[in-house]
Amino acid sequence: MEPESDPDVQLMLAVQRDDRTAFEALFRKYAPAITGFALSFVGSRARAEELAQETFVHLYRARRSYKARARFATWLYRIATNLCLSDLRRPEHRNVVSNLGPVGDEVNTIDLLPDPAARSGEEEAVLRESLERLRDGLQLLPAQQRAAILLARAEGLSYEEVARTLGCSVSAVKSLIHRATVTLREKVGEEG
Amino acid sequence: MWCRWFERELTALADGQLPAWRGAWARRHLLSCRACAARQAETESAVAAQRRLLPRLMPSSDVPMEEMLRRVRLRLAAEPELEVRRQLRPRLVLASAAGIIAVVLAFRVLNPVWIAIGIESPPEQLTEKPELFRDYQLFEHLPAIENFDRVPSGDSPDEGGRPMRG
Repeated sequence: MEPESDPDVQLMLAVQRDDRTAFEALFRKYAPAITGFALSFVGSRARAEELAQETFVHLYRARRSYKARARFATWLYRIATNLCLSDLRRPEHRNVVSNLGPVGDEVNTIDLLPDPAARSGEEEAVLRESLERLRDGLQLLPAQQRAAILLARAEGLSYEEVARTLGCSVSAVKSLIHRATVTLREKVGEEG
Repeated sequence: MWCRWFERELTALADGQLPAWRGAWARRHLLSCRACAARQAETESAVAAQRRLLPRLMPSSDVPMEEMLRRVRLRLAAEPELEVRRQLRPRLVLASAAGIIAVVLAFRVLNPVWIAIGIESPPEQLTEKPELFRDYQLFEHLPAIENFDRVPSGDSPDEGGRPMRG
């Protein structure tokens, strides 16, 4: 998609003109996704919400430096990723595994599944187990690999957009995503 | 060894992220390499599963939107000066740097003026012999001064003269 044809780019250009309505429209559209993205890094719902809020505060403050060179989501996720990676470097996050908590403590994966009534109990149990193993596998990934694979597979960014978001080359993104894919496949098995 | 390197391409191929020419080259290799073709099937299965499952790990249905927006509004309202200060900071730095450079240049270029009106002291050697400083015009006749003990031969002082005998 060309930046000019991205409606969110037009909203962001309005934000540059101090249009608060446009800013709040972008917030309502992306805050849930950014919160979920942050949760994959910090493991705490409260901290993920703070990081999402921080992302939008940064976005508003940096609005004058915004240039419509790519999709708006690329720029937004760049801010969010930098904040999440910085947060991970804080001393209290060094032991990543301790942030997981018991299963369902922060994220009840069953509640997230669309139309759970359509599944049999056994299917639900298998799916829940796959999700739990996938989440455990994600937490074992180095931060850059985790960011790359979430941006590409969960948020739907292209490799080039992931490279812009992470500030690295497309070749580096290919390597990050390949290694993350292999690790998750080994952890989760054929289902993931 | 070559096929190990190719594995990275298989993941990008499964993601649909290879340029057209490279994807065609990768598919040609898969037709001729059974090991890579088997690995490609596993990779595509894993990539498809991750695309299906990873978004479900990110909760988006129960985010307290209004409360979060309220907090963002409060933060932006509480720190507006920071934004103005951030805009001014580069300009202040540039203006300060320009001012410092201007002052330094002024002192160097206008040094004789500062000495004449007494802001700065003249160099030490001139302090010791102020007559040299006041009578700088003597330097125009320096050759004559250097040869002052020569007997003038009637020529102009600038041409010097014969040295004195004895």
